Amino acid sequence: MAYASGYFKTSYGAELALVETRLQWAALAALGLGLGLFPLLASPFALDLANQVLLAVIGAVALMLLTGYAGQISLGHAGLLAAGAFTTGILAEEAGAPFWLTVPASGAVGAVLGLVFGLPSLRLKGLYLAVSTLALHFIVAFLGSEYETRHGFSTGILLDSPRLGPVVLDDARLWYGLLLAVAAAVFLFSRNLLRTRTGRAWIALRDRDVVAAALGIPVAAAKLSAFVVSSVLTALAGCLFAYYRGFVSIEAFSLFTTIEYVAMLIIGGLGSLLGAVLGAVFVVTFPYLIDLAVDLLPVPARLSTYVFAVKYAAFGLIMLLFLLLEPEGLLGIWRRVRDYFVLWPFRYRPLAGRS
Amino acid sequence: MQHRTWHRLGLTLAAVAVLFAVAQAQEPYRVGLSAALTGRGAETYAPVSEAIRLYVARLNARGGIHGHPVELLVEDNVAEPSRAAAHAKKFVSQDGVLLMLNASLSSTYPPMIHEAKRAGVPLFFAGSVCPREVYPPADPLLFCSTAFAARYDSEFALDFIKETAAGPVKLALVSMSIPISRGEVDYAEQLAPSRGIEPVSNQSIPPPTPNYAPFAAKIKAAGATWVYAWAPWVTQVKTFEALRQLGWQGKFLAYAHINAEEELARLQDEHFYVFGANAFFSHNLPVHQEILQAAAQGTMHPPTQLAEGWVAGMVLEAVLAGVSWPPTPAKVLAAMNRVRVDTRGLRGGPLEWTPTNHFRTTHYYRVYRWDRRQQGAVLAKDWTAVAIK
Repeated sequence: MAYASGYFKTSYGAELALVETRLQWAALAALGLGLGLFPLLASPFALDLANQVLLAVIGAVALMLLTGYAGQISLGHAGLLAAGAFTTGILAEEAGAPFWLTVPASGAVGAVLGLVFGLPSLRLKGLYLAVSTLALHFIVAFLGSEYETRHGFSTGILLDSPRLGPVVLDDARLWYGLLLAVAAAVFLFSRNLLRTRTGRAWIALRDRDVVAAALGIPVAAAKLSAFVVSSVLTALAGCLFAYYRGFVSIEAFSLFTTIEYVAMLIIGGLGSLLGAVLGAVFVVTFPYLIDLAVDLLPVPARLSTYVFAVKYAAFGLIMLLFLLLEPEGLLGIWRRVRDYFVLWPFRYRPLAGRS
Repeated sequence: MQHRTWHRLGLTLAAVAVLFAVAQAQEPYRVGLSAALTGRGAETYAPVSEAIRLYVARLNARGGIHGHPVELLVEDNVAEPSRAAAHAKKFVSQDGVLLMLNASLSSTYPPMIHEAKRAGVPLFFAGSVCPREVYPPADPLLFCSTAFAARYDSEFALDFIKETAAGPVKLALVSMSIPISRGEVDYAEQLAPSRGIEPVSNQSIPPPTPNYAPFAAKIKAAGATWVYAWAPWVTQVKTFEALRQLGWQGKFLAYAHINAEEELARLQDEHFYVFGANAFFSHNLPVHQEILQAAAQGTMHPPTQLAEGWVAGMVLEAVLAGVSWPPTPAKVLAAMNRVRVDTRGLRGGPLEWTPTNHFRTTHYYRVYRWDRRQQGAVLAKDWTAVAIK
């Protein structure tokens, strides 16, 4: 079956279609079937891992919009996740607020923070902007820590499982369904947003903001909108994290969390939503895959302590090798594999081939 | 012919019975330990995990519990809540553990507590800071054998400072800026005036601090004559060293984490005191010899850092000894509510849990400092019993 060339679009419908060919539909159906069957076949641990991946996908897509598409570097991602989680925790703890109230409240707090901490982007770029967003992390960390200390939650705020109508979300399979739906919705929303005037403005900003301004794009509004949209989605991810894990603690949102999310973008492939998804899958599952690989090796018990230390180092080493040897990220590998099959027996895509 | 058939059937049944009995005897008491073996806090928690592993290996070599081995599933949570959560879920949903153990930073507590409560499996803090939920009236599922004791530690520390100081005390307080450490030091700050001690500075130091000098400078500028620190070891000792580099001549009281014995020898400062609940190896008790022998089998950690985990191993053995076969989490919980462990000198007295007290009924403190003449750690204050009510 031919792969969509991208050259010949005979209708507006074809131009707007997200899925273009029967092969893509078949692949999508197979993916849907696989994702649908997964919770029925997976072990509880694998299911928990999948839920972690889905939570990470939401956060990674949100950061990809801001950094990968709008070109605005942010190191405040863990702060925004924490803001969403603490909004949920505080509302649930202090006011007994239900799920349907804490979710929009978390999004609203994310929007406000995105607007406030997006303001420096109007004057700052690059490393200077990164440092200004770092302030967001430290301010939220300070406020969260103060709340926990002053209110006696020294080991975090414990949350009850949320209730959606008659359903109590206390089962990993239910959470899988919810998180998969939210992750898919966020992905589709982002994919479509990037095809709108706003999304195209972000891409223009990323490529050259001076040219974007010359083309009549309202640079300030576009930058702020990128911060707001990304922050809302990130805060929602924080809210879902809090409910899924059943706790809120500022120690769960360290600067390392931000670094992990940045790593997801770079490893996955900057400037691609699929890259964000692949990066999230890789960064979340990789430490566990190393665990699994090491567990399969016959290591004497007395050497087990050394093995843990080696595993910790191996993660860093493999990340480094990955970045050195595959700068286009997992997306680059995906494209090469896909092209090998799609173009066979030829090796190269024709001129102006779509990616 | 019929006789032969019955004979064969009998032999088959006997063989099945023997196999079943062997299989039953090999069925383990399964417990899961999620520990910070690498990453932040590993210097404190990896030796604890190692000591528990050595203790369990020794226990199994002696025949296990009621003829059944103890299987210790160890996972490295890197002090990350998400990984601790994943481990807890795996332990209860997949591995079917009877009991979960935590030896990690407080950041890993909430997800494990959440999972323990959801599944009704007891959670034993073995080497990590005891959360206040284990104090009377205790949470039904949470237990702790660790030497640290928030609130009680600061009360004892302030009393010690007051009785050791010759005159009025100007006290500076040091914490790491994590809620559990800050909360304790803030409590000490509130408590100090009731002991006739004047708090003059309260420094909360972020975890990734490369330079402790600014915090030390504030303490010195405030005119502190004593400093009390209740934080991870790195924060305590780096602050002390920064103070000495600035020429500060006061006295410093820190919590005796597992590496305190070697650190006193490294610092060799007579005014650096450490207080805690574990006996130093310099006392050379028979139980210390046991630990040294076990460590000789192979460990990358100094044997002097294994006492905390050894106590946890003792408690684990005592708990499982009170659980009849087949074990269930409910039986383990019942055994934990009535356990009494002879710590054989590693602590000042026995460790006892009751249905309402999952910390211990009596807590014992000792204070050590370096002595230049003896070139070793000496007692600044011997065991002091504190009733936990």
